[in-house]
Amino acid sequence: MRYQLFKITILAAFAGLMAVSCTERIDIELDETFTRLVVDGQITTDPGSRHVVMLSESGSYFYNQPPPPVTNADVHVSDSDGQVVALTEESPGRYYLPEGYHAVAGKTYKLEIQLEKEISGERYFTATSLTPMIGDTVYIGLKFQPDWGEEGFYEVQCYYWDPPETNFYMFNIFKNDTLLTDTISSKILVDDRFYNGGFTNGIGVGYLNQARPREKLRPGDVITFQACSVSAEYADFVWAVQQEVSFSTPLFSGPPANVTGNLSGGAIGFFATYSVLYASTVFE
Amino acid sequence: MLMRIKSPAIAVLLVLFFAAAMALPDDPEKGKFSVNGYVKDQSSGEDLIGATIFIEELRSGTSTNVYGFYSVCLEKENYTLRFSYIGYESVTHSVELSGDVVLNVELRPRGELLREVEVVAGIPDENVKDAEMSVMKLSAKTIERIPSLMGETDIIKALLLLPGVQSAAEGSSGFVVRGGSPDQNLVLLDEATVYNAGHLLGFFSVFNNDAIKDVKLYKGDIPAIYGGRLSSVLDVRMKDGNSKKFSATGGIGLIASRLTLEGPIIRDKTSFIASGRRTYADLFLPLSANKDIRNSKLYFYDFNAKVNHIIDERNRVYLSGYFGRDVFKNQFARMILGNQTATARWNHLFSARLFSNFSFIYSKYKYGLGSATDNEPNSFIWDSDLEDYGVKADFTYYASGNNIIRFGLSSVYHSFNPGIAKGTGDNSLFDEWIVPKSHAIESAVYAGNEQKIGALLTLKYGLRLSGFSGIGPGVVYNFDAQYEVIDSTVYGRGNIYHTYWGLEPRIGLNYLLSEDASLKASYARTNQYMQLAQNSTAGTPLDLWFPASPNVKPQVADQFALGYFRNFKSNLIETSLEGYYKRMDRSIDFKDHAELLLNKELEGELRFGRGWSYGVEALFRVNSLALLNGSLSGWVSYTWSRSWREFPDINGGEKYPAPYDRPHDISIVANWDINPRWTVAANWVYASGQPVTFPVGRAVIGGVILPIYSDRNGYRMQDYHRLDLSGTLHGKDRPGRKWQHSWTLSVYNAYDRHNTWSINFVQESSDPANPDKSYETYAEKTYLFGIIPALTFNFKF
Repeated sequence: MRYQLFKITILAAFAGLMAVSCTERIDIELDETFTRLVVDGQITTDPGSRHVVMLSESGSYFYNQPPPPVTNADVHVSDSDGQVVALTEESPGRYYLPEGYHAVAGKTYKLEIQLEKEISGERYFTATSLTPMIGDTVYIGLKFQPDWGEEGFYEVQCYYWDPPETNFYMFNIFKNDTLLTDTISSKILVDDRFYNGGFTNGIGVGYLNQARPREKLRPGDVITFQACSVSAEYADFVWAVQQEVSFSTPLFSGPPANVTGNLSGGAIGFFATYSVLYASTVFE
Repeated sequence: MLMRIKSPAIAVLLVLFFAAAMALPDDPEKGKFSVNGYVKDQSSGEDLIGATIFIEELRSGTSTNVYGFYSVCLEKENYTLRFSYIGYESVTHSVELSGDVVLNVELRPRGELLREVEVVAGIPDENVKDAEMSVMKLSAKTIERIPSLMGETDIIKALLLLPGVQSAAEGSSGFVVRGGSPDQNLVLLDEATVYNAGHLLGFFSVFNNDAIKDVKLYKGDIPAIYGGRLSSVLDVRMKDGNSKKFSATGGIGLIASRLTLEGPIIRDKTSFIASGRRTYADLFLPLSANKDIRNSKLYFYDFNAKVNHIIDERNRVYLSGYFGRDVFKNQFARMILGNQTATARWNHLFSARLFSNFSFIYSKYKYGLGSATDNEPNSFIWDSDLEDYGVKADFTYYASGNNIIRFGLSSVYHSFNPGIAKGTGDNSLFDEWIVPKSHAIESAVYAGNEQKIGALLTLKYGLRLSGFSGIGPGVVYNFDAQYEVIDSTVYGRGNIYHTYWGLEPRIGLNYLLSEDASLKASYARTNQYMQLAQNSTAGTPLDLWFPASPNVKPQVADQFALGYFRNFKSNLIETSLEGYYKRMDRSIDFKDHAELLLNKELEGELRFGRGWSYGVEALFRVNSLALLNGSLSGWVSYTWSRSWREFPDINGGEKYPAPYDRPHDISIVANWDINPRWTVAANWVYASGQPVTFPVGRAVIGGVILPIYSDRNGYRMQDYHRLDLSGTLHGKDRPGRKWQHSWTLSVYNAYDRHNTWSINFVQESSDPANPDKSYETYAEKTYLFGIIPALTFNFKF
């Protein structure tokens, strides 16, 4: 498992040394660059979710405002069977797929965006995504780790038969229907390098810090786990984003670099389709 | 394994070697005789490396080699030989030559103070007269006096104060020589390669100064005897151990204690030294308010030992070793890492003119990283190591007064284990993940001559032929143009699947402009067959060394240097001005967001390009200048340099400054012995800020602010500067008492400069309750050290 397990371990191993360092805010003058289209869209195999593609514009680094939405675009998704659906802009820059529309494992989807106005000389953008397969069922348990952190952690442990091919998984944790892993940097992403085709006999897939009110568990809380089987390209994209937004040091961090997605026309971002499985447990 | 002559590289090298050895004349030239012997320290019996022997009548001289041996070939005459070494009183001997003469000389260390000017006459003038250039020497004594971080004397931190040498990052043991990356430095401890020279992430170096005799850094003009790295050779030699009397040296510092024992086993024949260090910073961790730190363990220890025995006038043997470990443990993880080296050597004098040394060398660097506990489903252990077994034979033939011929050969078997990770315990859910091991043989044969032509010109020319063969068992992955794996080839044990050759000429000259000024020039080609998969500037102990292979061609560098050297006031003041240009081909960098650890297809992450660097280095060095009642020594250096990289796949193919490009670099180092009891020292360093890449735009994706970058290393951090101070109070010297002690108070970063270590762009808040703030970002710098005082107690008896 690439980043999560080892990287967490490596970082933990050096945490003691990091503790000696100090930080202070500084003022830096930065240059500007041209505007790009930013695309953030996912379609899962879950028929119960509303799937959305968000379009916005990039800005200067210290813009410090919500990004300007890209409105009145013509957005379509087509699948490998040739079925085409139009997306509806329900709020500025948020283009929704029809209710009940979901991806099917094994199918390829194509996103097409036609802008009203050009962004950096382009009006047409496209991306394709193959939806990976996923196993049949998943179960979870909770284990208290009293030694971790100030008030301990609950570790979400996962029981799952991994399919024989190489898979990449992204994990989400919900507490009473609230998504706790709500930013791309809080998602756990692994490959199946260490248990390919095997049973994940209680591997840790989520960590609830009991010192944080949002993550603190009380009797009756429902913890829902979402396992997403994502493509290698999307996994690389998420890892790269996580790397670019995480704390960088001369020890671990490679040189900063732009993150490439799967959009044509110089747009930033990713259009991803993936298979999901759910498991829930009630905390007692 | 050692003599697997199956290897075509080794076979060819052996043939060449013996052909060269045959060419040596057997008989000494008619009417000429040799004066030879060893130069030693009178009080400890340690051999003196680089002591000079000046023949008054000929106004020329020679110097001792790394074993303290010298040999000169002279006509049948009477001569006056003056032996000198910096910090020692010179000695003059008259010799009547009617046959070969063995003249062993012991020099007496000069008192701490130097009040009388006439003593100064013996200061060697090798800065001007030596054919070598781009070389820096530091004695253990000089290093010991430089104020240091937490009072821990540190050889590598001392090197950073020399012109042309820069730090890879604050607190790092990685150093950068003339714009080359940190893995382009060959670091040798008694000839064994030290693969990771740092303790505790590089905050301290692996070398325990108490056990070290001599440190020499070749920044260029690398002699043909050395090879395998592009940019520099750091040759560290351990003490042999006091052969006169038993003595103990030690120290108690803020974070570590040291103890060194040395003495004769058989007086003047066999002696030993054993030296150990351990940190105890972790003893204070339980006092921390933070629970995670309270439950942590963090320490290192190391151990140096050496024994040597003089069998007879012609034979001497040495056995030396180093063992160091860093240990870390907290509630999530544990880690153990360290180097070990062993060197067995035999010096043999075939004749008064043919000196030889044979070495057997072992070196290993390993680390193990694992979860804190062994029986959880997630528990794992991950081990990696790199092991060397080497043999080496070096010969020096003192052909006549005008020629010194050096030749030899070496062969090293490298074994790379990039990583085995596996679950531990009964209910582990991890399979084994093995990144295949690889093996290689690196061999070389070299020959060179140092030739005096007339009284003014010295030429130095040599050739090194190196070969590097991949040897099975091993797996070679084959990549397509997009760096994706197509397939792999598995090679069986002993199967040599590829060989690279490198022809490395080394040329230098010294032209004496006057008694105290010279002009030197040099050219050296170097090849490098193994490199560090290090993507960050400072690196971590987990970075892997990987070999040249069918996918990775060896790196090649050509360096040209020109220098003017001038001494003043009877060599009391040395100055030099050197310029260099270095070209590096087949340089290695990594693709964006490369994955370097536990990656079977590491070679697919590599990108190849070129690099070049150039600069001018000025040095003004005072050896021992009378000041008030005391003496002042130190240096001021200024370096202007640039270092560039150009890779077709990086930065859109445009050239960019290397992460180590620091155009201006100043060091001032001063040490003043005020009186027999008080010494004060100070150093100040300044360097242009490190190049960095900053964002020029943002994209909001998945609730985070993703930076958009333009050019790599297009910005610079703030300039770096720092002042360190120290004061040492020596205990009163009483006649007849062996015990000596001193207290040193050192202050690192005396004016509390917050030098930037890293710059991060931080999202103000990712709290969903405060959504507006989540779009605000600011720049934040991290610095490692404020002002750090430390008190150290040192003793000797």
